Amino acid sequence: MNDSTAIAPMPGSSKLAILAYLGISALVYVLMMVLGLLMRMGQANWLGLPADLFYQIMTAHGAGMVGISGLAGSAVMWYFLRRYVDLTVGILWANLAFFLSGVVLILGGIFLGGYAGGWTFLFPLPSHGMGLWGPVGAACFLGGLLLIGVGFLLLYLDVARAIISKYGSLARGLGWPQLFGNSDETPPPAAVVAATMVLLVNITGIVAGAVVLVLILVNLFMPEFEVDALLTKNLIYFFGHVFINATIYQAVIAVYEILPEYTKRPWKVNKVFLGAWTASTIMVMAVYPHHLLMDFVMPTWALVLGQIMSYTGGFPILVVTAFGALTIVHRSGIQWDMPSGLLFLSMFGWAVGVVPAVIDGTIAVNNVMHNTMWVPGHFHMYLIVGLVAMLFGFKYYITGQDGKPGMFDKLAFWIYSLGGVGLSVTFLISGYFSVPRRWAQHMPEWVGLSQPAALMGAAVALGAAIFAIRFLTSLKHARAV
Amino acid sequence: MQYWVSAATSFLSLCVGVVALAWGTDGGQAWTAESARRLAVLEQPVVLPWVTLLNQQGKQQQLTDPLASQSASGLTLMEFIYTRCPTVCLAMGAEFRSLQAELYSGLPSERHSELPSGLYFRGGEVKLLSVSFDPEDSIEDLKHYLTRFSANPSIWSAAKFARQSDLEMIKQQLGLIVIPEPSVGYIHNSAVYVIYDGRVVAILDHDDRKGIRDVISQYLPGTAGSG
Amino acid sequence: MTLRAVIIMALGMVVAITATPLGHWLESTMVSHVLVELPLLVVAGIIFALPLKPVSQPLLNWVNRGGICGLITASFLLAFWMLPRWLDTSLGDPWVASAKYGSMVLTGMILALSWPSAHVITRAVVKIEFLTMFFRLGWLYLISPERLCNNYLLTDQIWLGRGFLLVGLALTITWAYPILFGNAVLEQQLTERKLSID
Ligand code: HEM
Ligand SMILES: [Cu+2]
Repeated sequence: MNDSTAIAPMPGSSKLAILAYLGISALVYVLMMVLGLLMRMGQANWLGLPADLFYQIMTAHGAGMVGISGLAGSAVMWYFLRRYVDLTVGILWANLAFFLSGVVLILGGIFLGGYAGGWTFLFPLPSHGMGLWGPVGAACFLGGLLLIGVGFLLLYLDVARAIISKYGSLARGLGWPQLFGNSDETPPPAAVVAATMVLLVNITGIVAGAVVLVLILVNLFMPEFEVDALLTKNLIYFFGHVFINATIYQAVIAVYEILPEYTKRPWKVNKVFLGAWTASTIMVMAVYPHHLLMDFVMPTWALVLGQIMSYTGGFPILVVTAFGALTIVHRSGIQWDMPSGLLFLSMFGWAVGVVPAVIDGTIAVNNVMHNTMWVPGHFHMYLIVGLVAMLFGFKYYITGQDGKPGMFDKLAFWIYSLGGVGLSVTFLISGYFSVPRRWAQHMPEWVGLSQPAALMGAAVALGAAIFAIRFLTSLKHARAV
Repeated sequence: MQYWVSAATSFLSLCVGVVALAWGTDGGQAWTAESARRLAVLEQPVVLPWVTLLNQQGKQQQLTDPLASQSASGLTLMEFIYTRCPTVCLAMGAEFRSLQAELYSGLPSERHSELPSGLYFRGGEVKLLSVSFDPEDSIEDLKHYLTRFSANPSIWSAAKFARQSDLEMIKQQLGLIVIPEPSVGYIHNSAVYVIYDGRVVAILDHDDRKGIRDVISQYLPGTAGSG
Repeated sequence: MTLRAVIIMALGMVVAITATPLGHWLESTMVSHVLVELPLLVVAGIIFALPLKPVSQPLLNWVNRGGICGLITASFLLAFWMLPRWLDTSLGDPWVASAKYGSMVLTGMILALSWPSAHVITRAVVKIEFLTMFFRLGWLYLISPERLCNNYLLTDQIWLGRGFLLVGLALTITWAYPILFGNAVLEQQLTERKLSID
């Protein structure tokens, strides 16, 4: 399945585009981590950060991290998917163009327009700047999100087109004939299954986002149109959750493709694997009808179900992936280097990060932890130690830096992973002690937790900076297959 | 080459489209016909035509001169109604009643400073006028309408068109919409028309009290109780 | 039925809508105005464009490659007449009404001349934008606190809002079903086989 000799090398423009995606994301990750560090230092009282600036930074950090993760994740997907289906390079570039123009608008909205409502702002925050930001700042932010959405829409539509023209339909891309019927055709490869799931949930998410963002824009300029706050909130959160979760479902393709290359054992696409991906697809999509039915007073059970689903929707995928990774590696005599090490670390981070999410999801009902640092705790764990580790693993892989790792690489690996775990754990501990999230100024008794957290944040940023430099200086060795 | 020509035409149609939408909404200010006519009146007040009305006493009067006592520089707040109306006109009547109380608080002028800010003692200069567009409304109906809302005859009068053809002219000029509707009576747009010096200078929501106060103090500045 | 017969029928429909009480009747409620009358005019436009296609193709290759320019123009034409202001004005002003009828027929013609040459992705984007527009408008009409058209009641507006949502849902299902559960590969093979038999 991963027989590289059988795959034609990428044309130059595809390779360039993929490297552009990855290079930009490497830089932006480091930059955004520095912003995160600034926030943590502000909360630790080591830095006099005015509250309005804190919220601007938080908005930029959140939106920037989510956006760049989407970009990097889609690059991983594209790189491997092209081995099986026929993708359009022009669209890959178009997405980048839309992305960058969106980023310009968003940054303008935040730092010139003063918008600081957070990346998954709680409605009606965008239209209530309370003097901090006007409708124009908010409109720039929302417009930027829309542009980025259009770019990704194009990309996923192209992926859908390619999968449909090779496999016949999206259900076939998910391997339904093999899963539900008795088809004995070989199921689609793991990369195709994952890409199908991602395009399904993301296209739906983008449509929901495109509806709700425009409604908020209307509300910004014509406040008499009072958008239903609950519905809006759910749509925005949903769109945000789906999008950020889908980044890891794209990046995980690297695990499916790279680990087999190391162990010379194929990644088995069996019924359990297909079943898990279908289950996650359905769980994530099942939350939609509640939103789309326009049920203006959503019953509590629907809210709770929605919460749990959007947190745990990826659980089946995680389980088959972690299990698959363990079995494929077990007694394979795998060589541990940067790509395989980071990919394996990412499985750990993902798994460990989801546990607190499940706890949070199930008790979100009574809102005990939901607005505490517990939440950033779980998502930083699975984003830093899971997703971003996966992405950097891929970056080492594509630039041919496998084999015995150098001193710096090893060092960076350990600073990054220990720092990442430490940072997330301090968030979780703060959450356990009910420290609220999204507070610029921390109470004196919380500062004790923010200070070690800031140190951990610095470690993560340093590790990531080394990864980024190693990637950017090895671009000339980038592989085309 | 074909590619570039088409790119150019696409870009052109995009620009034309955006300009058309901007034009069609007065630069994003007027999305509905109602807001468009209000905007238009603000920019260019409408001179009222010479229209004869019959008031609740059966006397003839000019549209621009609802009450004989009206001073030349006064303001008239006018509404179009029909007395059978089960919905909006009731709300408008109630709103006028409360406006009347505010305009004619009964306090002597020395004590105007005691009025809560935003209240006016303007009974002498601001008149209320309810004009029926329903040909079936009789003089009696108008009288009843006023009694129903305890109208003070020195401030608030009601009237109907002496000639139905005048109604058509008014509909044209002011963008008044009156559509017969078997079950309710009429569908019509509700608004307060502010008349100053024989011209409609503003059209406001009937319950936009703040807007009404603002117009009053804009056209009749510096009199007692404003603020 | 010959092409000519279809065109004559479409012409008849346009005349009926623009010059007989039928149009007035359709315009008496907002739902039938927006979701019946206007789409019928667009359909008529599509039919009128059928014989034009071969004739205009050389020109279209220049100015309307991939149907992009046409699709943009058509979207703006539709968007313009979705402005409550102009829909409302068209009811009282015969000039505006004629412009509306003309634009809708024109929209249909432009669509017919652009769609066949549009790329799959372009079509998908247009469909999705169309759907989203239905959901947005539906939502807006449901939450609008006041009448958007002086000629219609608030309840009319709410019905139209529901209508928009329903049509949006119906379109979503119709468009999504084959993509989700069809078999494009099989269809492709079938058409190819049919071609080779022909
Ligand atoms: C050096 C590494 C990082 C540090 C020090 C850091 C720090 C922070 C801090 C202090 C907050 C605000 C918490 C609060 O008070 O509510 C935050 C929020 C957030 N971070 Fe990070 N972060 C880091 C890396 C990342 C990464 C890699 C991602 C994603 C890929 C990420 C995504 C987010 C998101 C989505 C938020 C939520 C923003 C909001 O509440 O609107 N962070 N981070
Ligand atoms: Cu009425």
